[in-house]
Amino acid sequence: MTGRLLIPIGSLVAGLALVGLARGGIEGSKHDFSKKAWGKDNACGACHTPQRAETPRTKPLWDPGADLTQRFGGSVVTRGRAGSGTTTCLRCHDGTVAPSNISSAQRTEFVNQTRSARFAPAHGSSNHPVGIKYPQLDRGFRPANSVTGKGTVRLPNGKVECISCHDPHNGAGQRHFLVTSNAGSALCLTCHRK
Amino acid sequence: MRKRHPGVGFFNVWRICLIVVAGGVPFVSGCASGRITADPVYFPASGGPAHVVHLKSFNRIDDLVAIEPTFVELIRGERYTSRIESAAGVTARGENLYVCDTDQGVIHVWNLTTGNTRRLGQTGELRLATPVDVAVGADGSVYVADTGLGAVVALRANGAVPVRLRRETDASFRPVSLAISDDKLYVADLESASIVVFDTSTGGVTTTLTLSDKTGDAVMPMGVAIGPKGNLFVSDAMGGRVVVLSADDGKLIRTMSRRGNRLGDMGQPKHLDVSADGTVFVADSEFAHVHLYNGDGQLLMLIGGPDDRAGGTPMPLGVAVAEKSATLERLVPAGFEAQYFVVVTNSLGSKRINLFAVGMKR
Repeated sequence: MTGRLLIPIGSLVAGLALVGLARGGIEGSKHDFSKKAWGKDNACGACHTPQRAETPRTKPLWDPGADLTQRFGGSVVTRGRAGSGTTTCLRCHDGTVAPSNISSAQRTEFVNQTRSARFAPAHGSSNHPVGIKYPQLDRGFRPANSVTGKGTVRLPNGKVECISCHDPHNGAGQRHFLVTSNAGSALCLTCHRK
Repeated sequence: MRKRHPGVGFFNVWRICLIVVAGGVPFVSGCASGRITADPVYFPASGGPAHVVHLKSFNRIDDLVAIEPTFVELIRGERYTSRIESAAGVTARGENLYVCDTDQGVIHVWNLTTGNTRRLGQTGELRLATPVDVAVGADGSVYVADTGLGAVVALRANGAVPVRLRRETDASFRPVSLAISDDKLYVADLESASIVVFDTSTGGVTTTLTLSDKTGDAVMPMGVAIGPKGNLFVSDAMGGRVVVLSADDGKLIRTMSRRGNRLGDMGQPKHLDVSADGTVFVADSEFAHVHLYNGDGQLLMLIGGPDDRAGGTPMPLGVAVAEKSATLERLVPAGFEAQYFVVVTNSLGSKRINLFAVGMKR
């Protein structure tokens, strides 16, 4: 009798777990840092810096000509730098906070496109290069408008960034924070023809 | 694993022979290094008296030190030297620069005078996985914070078998930064939000400074350094500040800065270091700058910047104060009186290591 009950109860628990996973959201995900010893019950603060309205009252002692109205961080993107959809990730995924390290020179490329043809996984890793312009003239890739047409994969400023395939807020509830399921390599085939 | 010098291929041997016959003019770019070729970048960038000058950005030691090619290199037309792939923590001791490479899982040891290189951590049974910071003891032992192994690895100077230093056998441990003073090794542990103090002679934990108890607020310790008065400086990535504590009992002395997006605020501070004159250097990976504070916690200025060009620090992680050396002083432009040097590593950018001189432009 007990054995008969265990099977449906186990199935129910497994089903509920799957539903929970698919529901998504940042709460309870690996990006929910609110319960860490340093988390301060704040799920957003690890990645998002509060914007300050007031300007500083004093100038830096060695820089009396400093512009006190300037702002830092956030979405500031400057020459030769990967987009904010990558740099925000790299701030933790550099081997310190997060285990995976994607900041290698082999894996992160820049808008100056010195090695734009390198799409092969580097160093035997499955990490995809980021901060690169989408090669829409390459026959091996689908047109950019068809890639972004479904609204799942994004190409910010025409570039492949971390957030092209990953949603750090876990909106889709997929493994590895993917923006959609990669069953049958569906996500890969959004850009790659084969 | 040695790397080929980019752009100097095997078939360049004929070119090399011609050059050697023509008079031995240096034929590789590394031989020409050690000279300032572009205008130096001074800080503060807004003008005024310059206190810091950018000297060099590099990925290889022969970008910094002129190294004569070996006979084998001369014949084959290739340069063999270690190259940084993904730089993390850094420290300078004597003539040596120690740089963590999280991609290759090694510590690069570069002699700034001779140009000799060594790679630590990939021989023997205990191999590094993700080394993120490094410290060197008075006896020459090298301590490595390895987040991949979840331990601090002690590479003894006497050649003894490397050992892992852990908190307790069953406690998770995420060491992200190190500082060493006499026989005490201070380890910033992200998992417990504390500074774990090891006895370097025994390898055991002597005390644990739980930071939230000391400051009244949670601290995300990403960097730890020791000031000239022996105080501990801890960077708080979540709070955007530096917490200064007594190294003896962990008593809170002061905090510097706060989290925000204005001048004087911090975004995500990573490693930090303190010079002998008490200047605090904090690498801020979000703002892509290095903050300079005096001992009283007043902001002096910012150096670096997000651009991937000379003087830029696209995503600083490690920072280390280096004392004067003949090699470094040769890089200082005329008219600038250098007191000491600062090395900054970056998680992004075409050049992963920046070298600055701190002093005064006359």
